[in-house]
Amino acid sequence: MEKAFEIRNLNKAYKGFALKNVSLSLPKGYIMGFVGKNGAGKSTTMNCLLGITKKDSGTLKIFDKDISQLTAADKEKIGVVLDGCPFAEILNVKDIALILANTYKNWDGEKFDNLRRRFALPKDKQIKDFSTGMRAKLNIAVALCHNAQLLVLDEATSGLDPVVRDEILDILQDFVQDENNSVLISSHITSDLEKICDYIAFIKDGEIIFVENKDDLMEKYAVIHCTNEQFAQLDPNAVISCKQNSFSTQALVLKDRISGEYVMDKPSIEDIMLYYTKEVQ
Amino acid sequence: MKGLVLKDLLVLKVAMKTVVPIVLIFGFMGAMSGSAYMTTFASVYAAILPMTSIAYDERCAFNRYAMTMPVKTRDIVLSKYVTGLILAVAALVICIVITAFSGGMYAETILTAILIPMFYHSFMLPVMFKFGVEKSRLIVMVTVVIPALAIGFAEEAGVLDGFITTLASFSPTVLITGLVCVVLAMYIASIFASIAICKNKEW
Repeated sequence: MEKAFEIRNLNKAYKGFALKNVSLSLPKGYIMGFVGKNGAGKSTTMNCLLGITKKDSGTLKIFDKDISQLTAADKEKIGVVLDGCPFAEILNVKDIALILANTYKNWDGEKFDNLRRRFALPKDKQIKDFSTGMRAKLNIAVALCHNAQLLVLDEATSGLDPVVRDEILDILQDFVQDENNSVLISSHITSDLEKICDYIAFIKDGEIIFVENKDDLMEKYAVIHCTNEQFAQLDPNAVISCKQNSFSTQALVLKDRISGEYVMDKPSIEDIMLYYTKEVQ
Repeated sequence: MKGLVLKDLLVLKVAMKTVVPIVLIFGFMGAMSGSAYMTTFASVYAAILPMTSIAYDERCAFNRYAMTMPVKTRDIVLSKYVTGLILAVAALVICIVITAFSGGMYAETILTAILIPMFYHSFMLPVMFKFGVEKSRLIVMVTVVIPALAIGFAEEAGVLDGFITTLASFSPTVLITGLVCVVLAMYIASIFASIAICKNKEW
């Protein structure tokens, strides 16, 4: 299967933080959610993939090409949302559309104007008078309007109200109906990722903990509710981590290593993230 | 690159609303009162306005985003020179208009209207690409003010008299051609230097 992007053994060291052998890849036609704490390495990984940050070592490919070999035509097919708004705040949406129409050969002015109206973005107002939500909507509209086949969205939905977020999630799901289109999205809003992602990648302290199919993930793990005595009898290799109080224990466990009847809930991505982050060696 | 140049000029459109009237008023006033310097006031603005564009780019991290667009590093660099040239030509046009209006009195200042911004950009732009706008302001103050003062003192002390006499012995055509060649050479060297600086830059 063709891959939208492939990262293999990416290493990038800064003072006090490093990406260590980060590997993840996404087949075309799917959405991958990228989760992790603040400072875990999501943005650094995405920036390395996009060529914004120079790697120390590793392989980075988009559309099966090393990123150093990407042509202008390839870059037309990559839609990006980074943190902040990359356009000078003195500009308005009309200016930005004009700039982009003269930068991207595949700029779809009509689609942009439709999205602009759908997102209620005024044409003549300066960006500096836009709210956070409006800037986020503008960034997403820009990424969607030059016939991109890969969207790389770094916290693209933070600052958006649930109604607009839902709308954008719908847009992203529509986007991947075309099996040539793929999305890599990082977010703290794990409920959003649960709604639309096919794959989840979890990064902690610069290392990938897992990259899994979302449905498999939900099947593999469970949140167990039991007494402290029952918990003590569980196979330690089954437990990722736990929350205990004087009466009971809740723990994230690998279902296939648990024998016996216990109260087990299906985990949310947030549960998995929280328990993994609490992980006690 | 067209999109990048458009971006630079659009960012300046608000500034233009104040700059153009000032330039025209001072220019015509200068022409009326016989001041040659005022007619090229526009070229001073043409020299410094690209800094405003670069400052906006830095503030919103546009160049980082531009790395993901179908835009080469070379385009990012060249677009700043093109913007600078467009402004310099605009200054030239304004100067020609004012000169024509004042009966052609200041023909010799016309060439300086375009050479001043080009000269300024040729050393400012590589410095700004390397150090960013804030540090560049300081660097330029030091690297321009100190030599300027040194030249001023040297002139007072009569040290440069020999040099000035030699220059004066050349015909104006030779001097002007020499000046144009020097500025053009600096400009081209500057473009190469900027591209080399930006090749490995992490925006």
